Amino acid sequence: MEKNIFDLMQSKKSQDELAVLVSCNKMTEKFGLSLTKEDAQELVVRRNDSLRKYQRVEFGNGILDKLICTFCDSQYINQDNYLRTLEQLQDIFYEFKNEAEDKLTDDELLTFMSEQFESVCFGDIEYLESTCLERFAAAVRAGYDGYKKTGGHNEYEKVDEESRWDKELYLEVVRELFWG
Amino acid sequence: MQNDMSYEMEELLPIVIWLTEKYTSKESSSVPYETAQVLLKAVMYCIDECISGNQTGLVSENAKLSARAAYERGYEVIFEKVREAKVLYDQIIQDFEDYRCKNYSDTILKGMPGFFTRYDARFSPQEHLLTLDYPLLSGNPDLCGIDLILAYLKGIHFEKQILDCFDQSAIRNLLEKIRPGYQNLYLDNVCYPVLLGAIGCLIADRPVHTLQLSKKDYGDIRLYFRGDNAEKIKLKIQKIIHMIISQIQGLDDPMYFDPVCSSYAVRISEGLRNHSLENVMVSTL
Repeated sequence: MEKNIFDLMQSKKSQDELAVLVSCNKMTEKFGLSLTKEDAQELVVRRNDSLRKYQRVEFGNGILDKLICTFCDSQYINQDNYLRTLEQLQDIFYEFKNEAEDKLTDDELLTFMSEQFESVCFGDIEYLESTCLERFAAAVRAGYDGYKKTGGHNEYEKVDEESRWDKELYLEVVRELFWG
Repeated sequence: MQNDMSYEMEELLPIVIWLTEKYTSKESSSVPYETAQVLLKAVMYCIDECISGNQTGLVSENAKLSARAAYERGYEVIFEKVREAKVLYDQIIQDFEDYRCKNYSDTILKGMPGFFTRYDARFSPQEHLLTLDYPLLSGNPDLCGIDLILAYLKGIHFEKQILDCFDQSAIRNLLEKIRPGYQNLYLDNVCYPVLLGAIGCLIADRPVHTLQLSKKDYGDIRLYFRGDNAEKIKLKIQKIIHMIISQIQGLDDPMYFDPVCSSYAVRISEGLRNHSLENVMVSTL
C-alpha cells in the first residue's frame, strides 16, 4: 500500500510538470538554451529513475525548474550539452541530498553545486560529484553547519584540500622569468 | 468519505503531501522513502484515531467527514490522549513506590518523562519512543504511539493501587526471596508474584497484606486445589482475584486480571504436580 502511494505521487506530478519545464524556455532562451517537449519528457523519465535509484519521493513542482533556473546562465552549458548536463546534475542533486543526510535544503545544495560548477570544477560534473560534493557532504555528516548562515555560498574553500592560487609563488616565478 | 470511514489512497495523498511540506518547511522538494513512510503512517494513525474515536461515539456515524477532516479530528484525539496520559502519570508519581526495583523505577521515573517531552503528535504520532522495559502484569499491549503509552500507564496505575494495599517491606522481602539482589536483577512485573502470594494467603485464610505462608498453609492450598485440572484452577483463581479486587476501593476493572489467571493456573498446576508449590507461591516467611 505504501509503495502504491509513492507511485501515485510520482504519476500525479508528471501530468503538469512537462508544461512547467517547457515554460522555463522563456527564461533560458536568452542564454541560447531551450528544451523541446521530448527533452522535457526525457528529463522527467530520468528524474524518476534517479528518485528510484536514491529511494526518494518528490512533492510539488520538484527540483527540475529550480535546477534550470540555477544553471541556465552557466558559461559551461550550451544547447549541445544542455539536456545531458541537466540529467547529470539532477542525478547528483538527489545523490547528495542523501549523502548529506537531508540536512541541506534544496537551495543550499543548489547554490553550492552551481558555485563549484562555475569555479573550481570549470564545468566538470565528475569533479563536482566525486570531489567537491563528496567533501562537503562528509563535512555536513560530521556536523558542520556553517552553510546555514551562508546559504551554501562560499562554502567549498572551507573543505577544499588543494591550494588553488598562491600569489607569492606566482610573483616569484614572474620575477625569476623576467628579472632573474 | 465512505460510510465505513475507510479512505482511498488518492484521498490520503494530499494530506501526506501537506504534512511533508510542513515537515521540510517547504525547503526540500523531496524526502527519502523512510521519511515518507513515517509521514504516511502518521496520517493513517491520526485517521485510525478518528475511526476508533467514532466507535466510542466521538464522531457521529452519519457525519460525512473528508479524509482531511478525519485526520484533523484524529490529531485532536491524540492530543486529548496525551493530556489524559500526563494527568495519569502525575497521579502515579505523586506517591510512587518502586520497592527498590531498578527496572520498575527506571521505566516509570526516568523513561516516561522523556515520552512527554519528545513525543511528536504531528510527524510521528505512531512512535512511542520508549521500550517500556518494565512489563505490565499481562504483558504490554500490542499498540503503538500514545495508545500504547496511555494503556500502559492505565495498567501501571491499576497495578499500583493493588501494590499499595500491601506492606512495602513484605513486597521487598518477597522480591528478595524470589531473586536475591532483585534490586538490579528483577526484570519481571512486581504485581505478579504479589498477587499470587495474596491468592495463597486468602486460600489459607492468612492476613493477605503480609504475604506470609507457613508449611501448614501450603498444605491447605494443596487441599483446596486437589483433583483440579488447570481449567478448574483458573476458574477458582478468577473468583479469588475478583474477591480481592472488590475489596480495594477505586478498582473497577476486575477483568484486567483475567489474562493472567491462565498463567497462574498453569504454574499452580505444575507446582502441585511437582510438589513445589512453595516455589510458585513464595512466602515472605
